[in-house]
Amino acid sequence: MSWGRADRHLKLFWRLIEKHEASYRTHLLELFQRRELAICDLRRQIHLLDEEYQTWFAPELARRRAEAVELRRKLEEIREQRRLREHADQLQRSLEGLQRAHENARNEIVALRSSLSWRVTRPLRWIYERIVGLKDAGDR
Amino acid sequence: MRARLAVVLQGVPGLQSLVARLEQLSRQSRRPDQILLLDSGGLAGQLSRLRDTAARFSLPAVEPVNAPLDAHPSVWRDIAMQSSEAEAVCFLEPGVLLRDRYFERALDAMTSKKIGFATSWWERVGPSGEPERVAVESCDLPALLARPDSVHRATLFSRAAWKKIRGFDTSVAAAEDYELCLRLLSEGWVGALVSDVLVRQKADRLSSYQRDLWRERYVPAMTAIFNKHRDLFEQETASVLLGREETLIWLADRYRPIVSRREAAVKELDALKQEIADLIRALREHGHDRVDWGDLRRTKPISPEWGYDRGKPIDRHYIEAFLEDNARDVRGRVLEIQEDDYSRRFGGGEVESVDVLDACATNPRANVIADLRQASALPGETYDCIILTQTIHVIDDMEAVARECYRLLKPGGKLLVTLPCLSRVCLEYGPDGDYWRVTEAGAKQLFSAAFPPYAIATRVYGNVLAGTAFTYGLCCDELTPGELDETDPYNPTLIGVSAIKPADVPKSKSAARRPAVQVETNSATHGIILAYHGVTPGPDDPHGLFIEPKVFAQQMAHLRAHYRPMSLPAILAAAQKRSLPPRAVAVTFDDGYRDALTTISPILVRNKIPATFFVTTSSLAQGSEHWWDLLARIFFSTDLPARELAVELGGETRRFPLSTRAEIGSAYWALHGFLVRSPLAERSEILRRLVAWSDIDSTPPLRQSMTGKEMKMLAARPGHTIGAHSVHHLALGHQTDETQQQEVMECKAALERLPVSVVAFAYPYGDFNDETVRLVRTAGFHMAVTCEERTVSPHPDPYRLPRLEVKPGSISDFKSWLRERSNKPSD
Repeated sequence: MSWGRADRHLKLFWRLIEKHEASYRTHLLELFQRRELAICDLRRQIHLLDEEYQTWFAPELARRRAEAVELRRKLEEIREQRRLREHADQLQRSLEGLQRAHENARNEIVALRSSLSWRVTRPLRWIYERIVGLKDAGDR
Repeated sequence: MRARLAVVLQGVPGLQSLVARLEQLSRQSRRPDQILLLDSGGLAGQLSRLRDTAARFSLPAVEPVNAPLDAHPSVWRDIAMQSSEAEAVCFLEPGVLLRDRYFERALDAMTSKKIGFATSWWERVGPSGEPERVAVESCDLPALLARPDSVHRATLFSRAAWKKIRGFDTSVAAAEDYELCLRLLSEGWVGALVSDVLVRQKADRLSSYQRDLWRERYVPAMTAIFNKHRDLFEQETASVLLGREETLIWLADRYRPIVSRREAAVKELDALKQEIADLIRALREHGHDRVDWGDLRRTKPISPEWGYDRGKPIDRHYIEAFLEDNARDVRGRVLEIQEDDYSRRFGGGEVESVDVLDACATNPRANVIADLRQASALPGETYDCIILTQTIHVIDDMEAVARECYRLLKPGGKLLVTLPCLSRVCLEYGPDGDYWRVTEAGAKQLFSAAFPPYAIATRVYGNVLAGTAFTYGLCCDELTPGELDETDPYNPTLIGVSAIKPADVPKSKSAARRPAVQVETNSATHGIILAYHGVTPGPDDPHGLFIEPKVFAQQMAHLRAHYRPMSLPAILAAAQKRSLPPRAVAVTFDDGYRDALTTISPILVRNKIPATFFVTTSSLAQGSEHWWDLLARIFFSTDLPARELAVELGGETRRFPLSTRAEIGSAYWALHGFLVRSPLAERSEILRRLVAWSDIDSTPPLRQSMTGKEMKMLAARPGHTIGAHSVHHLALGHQTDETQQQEVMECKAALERLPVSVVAFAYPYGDFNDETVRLVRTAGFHMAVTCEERTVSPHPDPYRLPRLEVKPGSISDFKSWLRERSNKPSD
């Protein structure tokens, strides 16, 4: 109850008592007992709820939160491991592709160098290299 | 000159709490001039330590003030006031914390001789530790009538004022200090208020904080105060009602957020449970579990041989620990099974001879070939000690073994048994020969078939990790000592049982399950006398004395419908004339619990069942708690203050470990066994010490005996008669003739003074001898009942009438139990 409402309620109650004071006095014991009982019960309820929270809910929440954090961490770690594994697989695949391309190129070179045309044109390449070599020496 | 101040330390809350309060006093800027300790004798042994503590804190010496243990709180307060010489007195109870300047400021406020008390603003601190401030504008009469908590429990009282108004009022069950303040104000004294928070009251188990939450105590106390001061309350009708309305509004404002917090917690817990379930599912999808099973992800044990192939098996570690604990009882003539290794190892030179028993004649180490269920070749009372480790679970009839061991033991001899609670099936005997696994409760039940319950002590060993390791066949070296020795009573691996054959056993009310009930078969000429105790069950009922009220009502309806309920004198008269009607039954109640008046009697009257209530007369004025209930409350309803109890029993200091439930139970049964046979003075002294040692709540217990007035009311109801049950409930057969005479004669005289006419006597614990019978007859009783578990035969001895004790259980248990005993066809 907000303070304003509580205040209004108490003022209203006060007026009622003023107006019907004799009746309230006649039944005072009953009213007194009812209120004492309600106060005692409410206080006990508050105490028990508070105690329940401190002794059960708070530790249970802490335990569950910690468990959730741990499971989240575990799951994240597994997902990270999986991501890393996939990345590593990808790198492996790309490495294998490059290795294959490299091999193909090397094979191509070997095939070229063993071909008849390559062998026939060898003197021409020798003369060419000599001319180029002389030219380079003259330039220097 | 300033007034002299005395502080009274109240209650019997144990040394620790008293030292803490002395420390508080030492921090006060104005120290007390006198410190009084209200004690009923239990703290006498600790007084020197308290005095040393007080000296160390430069406080005045602690002065003990004797007060009766069971006196009303107001009487305690008055005794303290009378014993004090100071002008102002403060009662300091557990859970009350004083700010360092409290005494100084409160005494400063006592400026005039007209001031009857001085108090201050204060705080109430609940379980969360959040303080609730109680700050009133004044402490005059209207304020006090409106708010009873305007004065706190550490209020300073003027001794002169207290004297003038003739002390505290013993007619109010609680809030006696509030009542005194009201009376002081109404008689013209003034209350001084320090408008500063100087006192804190914590939710201490022993403090009045807790008592104020108990409606059965608080509301009648406030009603009594109202009735006493009706005029004052009526003069301030508006203040009285408005003050309470305001408190209710304030409490409702506190209650709502607490409820919301609870709802939020429930919601969050549900969400977390859901999230955890989702996370576990996601983990599974990734091929992982919540728990990393690692090497244990297997369906076969790592070692199939208990771990012998890896080192020492885990159960062996526990068996040896158990025998080590009981080594002093391995002495004299010992019987062991299959081999004598443990007798030699743990008994050493104390062992005179060892017989090795085996059912199999091929065992070369065995010198006795016998069946443990019935070793009739062995004479009774032969052994000082019998060792049965991991043996009887492979015998089909364990109870027969328990009974046979009882027979074979000499009086005072000890049986040492270990039983598996969690174990693989025995390799040697296989799935067809390994019969049982036993829990701690099961072990107690099993051996109480032969031994009195108080003579049985059990101890559990192991925990979930040790149990898992054991079933996988791992060995001791694969766990740390800490992991191995931690005990979890909810996950035990092994149970150790030690049971003594008493040298001379009284037939205790607590001999809950007797070896065999002798039932006469001719129901047409036999009757039954049922023995009940009360209908206030609870966790502190180790003897099983209390029946659920609902079940009791069903039992009485069953008796009314299918049996012939008769009064005790009528059943005796019919049996003497050999004219007992079929299914004749009489109902009796022992010990005179108050629930006889409040719960039992209306049920009996409704069913028109006559009954005899056997009552003790030691506290006819105000009722009291029976000693066994007090003992059970100390051990089973409170947190014990230490992990060990040292207590002097019969001139010998006995030490009881109290770390586990099993140890607590063992200590209880050992003490109970001793106290049952003790003389009154010794019993009272030991109990006083135990109360002082424990942190037991000083509030009146749930189970109390009736007052004389209540007995009169009960006797006036139709079909109800009162019987005598001695004065102090002593085991009469173990008392001197003089004590027996006093117990029998004074009980009868006290009841007749009420006046109540008594013709029947019940022997406490069913313990009596020929002298007791002679005294009962001489005293003018016409009959006496025992605890002998038999039906009533024709021509019974009127001073040895047998009874069948009704134990807690379901209504169907009761029906079949009674049917079996009366040979009545099933209904």
